[in-house]
Amino acid sequence: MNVFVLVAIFVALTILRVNVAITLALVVGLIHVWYADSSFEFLLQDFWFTVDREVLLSLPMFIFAGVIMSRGSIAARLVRVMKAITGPVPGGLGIAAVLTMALFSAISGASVVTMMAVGTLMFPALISAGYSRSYSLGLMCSGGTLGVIIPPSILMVLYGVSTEVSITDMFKAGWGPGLTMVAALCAYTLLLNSRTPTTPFSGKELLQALRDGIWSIMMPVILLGGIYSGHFTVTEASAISLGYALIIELLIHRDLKPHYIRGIATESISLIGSILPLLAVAGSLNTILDYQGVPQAVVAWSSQAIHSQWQLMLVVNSLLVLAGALMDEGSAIVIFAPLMAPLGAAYGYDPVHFAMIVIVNLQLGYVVPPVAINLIVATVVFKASFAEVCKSVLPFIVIMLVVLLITIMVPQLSLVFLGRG
Amino acid sequence: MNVARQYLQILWVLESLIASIALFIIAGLLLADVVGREFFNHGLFGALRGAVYAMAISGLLGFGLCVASNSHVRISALDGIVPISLRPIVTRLGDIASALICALLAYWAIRFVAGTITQNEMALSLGMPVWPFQMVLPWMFLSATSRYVVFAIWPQLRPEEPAVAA
Amino acid sequence: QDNWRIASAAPATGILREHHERIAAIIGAKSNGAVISTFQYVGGEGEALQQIARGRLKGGVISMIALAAVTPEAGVLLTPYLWASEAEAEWVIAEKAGPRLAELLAEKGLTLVGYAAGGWTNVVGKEPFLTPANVINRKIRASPAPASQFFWSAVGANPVQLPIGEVFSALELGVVEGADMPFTFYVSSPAAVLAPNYVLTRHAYNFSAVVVNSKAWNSLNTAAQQNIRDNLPTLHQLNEEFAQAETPLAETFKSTGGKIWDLSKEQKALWFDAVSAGQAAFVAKAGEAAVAYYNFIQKARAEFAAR
Ligand code: NA
Ligand code: NA
Repeated sequence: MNVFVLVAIFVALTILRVNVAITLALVVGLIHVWYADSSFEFLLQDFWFTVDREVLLSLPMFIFAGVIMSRGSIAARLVRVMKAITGPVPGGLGIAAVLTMALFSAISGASVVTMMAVGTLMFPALISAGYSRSYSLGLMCSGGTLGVIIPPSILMVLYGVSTEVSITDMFKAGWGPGLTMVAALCAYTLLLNSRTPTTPFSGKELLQALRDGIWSIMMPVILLGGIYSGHFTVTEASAISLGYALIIELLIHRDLKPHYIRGIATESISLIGSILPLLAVAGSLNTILDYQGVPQAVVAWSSQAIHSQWQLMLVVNSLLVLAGALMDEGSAIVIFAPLMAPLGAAYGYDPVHFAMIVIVNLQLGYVVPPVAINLIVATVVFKASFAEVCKSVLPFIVIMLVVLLITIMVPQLSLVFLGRG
Repeated sequence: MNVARQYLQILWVLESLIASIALFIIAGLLLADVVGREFFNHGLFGALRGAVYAMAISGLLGFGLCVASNSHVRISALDGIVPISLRPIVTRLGDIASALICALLAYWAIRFVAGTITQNEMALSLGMPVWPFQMVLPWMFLSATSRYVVFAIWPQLRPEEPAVAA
Repeated sequence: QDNWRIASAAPATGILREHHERIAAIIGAKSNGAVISTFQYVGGEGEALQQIARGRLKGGVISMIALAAVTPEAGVLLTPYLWASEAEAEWVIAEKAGPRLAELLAEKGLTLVGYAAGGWTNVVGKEPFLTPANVINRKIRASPAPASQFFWSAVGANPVQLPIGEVFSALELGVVEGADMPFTFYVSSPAAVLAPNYVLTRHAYNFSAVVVNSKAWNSLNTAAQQNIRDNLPTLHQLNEEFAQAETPLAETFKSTGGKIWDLSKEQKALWFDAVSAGQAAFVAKAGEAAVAYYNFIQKARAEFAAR
């Protein structure tokens, strides 16, 4: 009965054009009261603890830096350099975007951070070079998830502390599926963009673009160089990219006047302000499901149907896709890894190989709606409707499923880097 | 109505100013920590915590700014159900509903912060209580409530929706 | 029959989790049928503590660092080199410091019903940091606990605060060259490979309190309350099991190239001397209540020595 009331409230408020954050806050608050033997106060508490987390720190920094760079001219100048280099190759800039994300993933352990850090520069670049919006959006959202397959990876750390699988081993194994995913994204880019118009190579244009864009090129150089040489962490790099962007745009390029900064800051804050409440409401729902023991019950119930390896894979992967769609991936792994790892072992899977299956699967959760942080952030940051973003990732979800299938079928892919392939 | 318009303006300036300062504080704290430890052999203890609270303040005030600019994510799939001629009424009812929900959330936010004050919960690495930072929760919902009330009474003060909606 | 969810942030495997699950089970099983209980993993201890105090969770196994947020006195118990030995720590906590802590927690609506072990914190390094001279001006990861920050500052290092998610890549890329961690966490993490030297400074003694929301606790009759208290394992018991669990882990660690460094009397003295001078000032920063508690503990230590 109450379920219908909740659905009715949701539909009614949507018809009344109430925004999603407020609609969901009421619905989840009522779930607290009706189903979780709890109260609205705990929705507010979950709200607080969602924002009270270090992992989110780089989000406002990369968003702010991104808006500054695209309002000023860092982005445009960098794009000119990349176009000059990749112009002669069909799909060249797309390939460059994939490789940049792979490179950044090797230092960042998070998905949305990778998407933001690379996307703020590469998304406008792809659009202005004539790539379709759909491809560019989808690539940014799905390429960001490389951050959690290519080591280091926050999901692997969480998997490791939730089971007895060595985080170090997973960090080695992740390269197999990670590079497969990179290859798959490159192949799709070439296939799709083989007819994108190319420009002949011009040494003169490249030189000019380089001279013009030297300060822009220094940006990734400083960031990657600083992180790789051990001077700062990825979180700190986000603040450094912001500081650098401000200094270059205000003092060197001077395309941005100081009095615009306030407006840009406010714009960035509005972007963050529309993301955080959605994360908070989703997080609150996760906690309710967890406390009510729903995931445990579902795994226990469905494991009765398992009598062979392929049935295990079917059950495990369906559950994980569902979990990824409905939960944030960090919570999903902490809840499901300890429940599933023993099942994997019982049916003869190498623990590290099984861990890779779980992680490559949960990577989908970042881009499978409704609770998909990459899509939510992309909606806001790349100024697209949720429907458009969802549609844009569809072909990429297929690619990720293929990579998942390969990861399942070819254990050597995960184990060869451990020396036991 | 002019008073209401002024009120919205002042609220906007105040919130965007505080939120912008908080945004720069995040960057400042993180940078000071890096510079301190790389050049002076001693970082800034508590910088990370301070930055997290600054992010909470900045991001949650952003909620109110989104209300002000009508730029929250909204599901538009059901827009066609209501004839366009009725849209002003629907929007107004929506604003009333939003005001009521935000008021409800504000009430519980106050209860939540009151609990923290009774507990005297501390942010250890900063050596100060947590509740002043948590005040952003009641603030964001109260300010949103007041905005929706104004929109419901004077719909002409409601900004147009930006072109993109979900 | 009420279901009490008992919270803990212990990772899904290992001795810590075994202990906390056992404690969670005992609470329901020994309530004379008044309640049932289930273990509930909650990633953040601070969040868990707030939910216990506000009644969403009924109890939990919460470390001193998290308790210090509501009861600054709990942080005093983490002061580096507070204890001369494990025996001393166990006696003072059981007889003096614990009962006093229970009174303080009661003011916050929390009832202290037992304890859990946490092991000793030691020094981790890419190189063997055998004396404070080895860490002067080196970048070392400090945990968010003020005690960790104080320890590294006192021995002359350059403490770097990093969230746990960034620690391993920081060790790999050289943002930091060391850290302080309890052994059971260390050996199961990439830190054991990236910084394979584990130096037994034994500078901080970790333990947790088993706390129950007072309103929930008072809903049990006295017999049930007593039965639960009587059946929870003692800190001494759990410490012994903890030490036993560390032995095979240490063997595996050594067989895969890790090194465990025991310190000579002189080396130990160097660490101790560098830290002890600043202890009083460190405690003073947490306020008058903390200072009073610190003095109370020192008196109890003297009593233990006199026994
Ligand atoms: Na990564
Ligand atoms: Na998800």
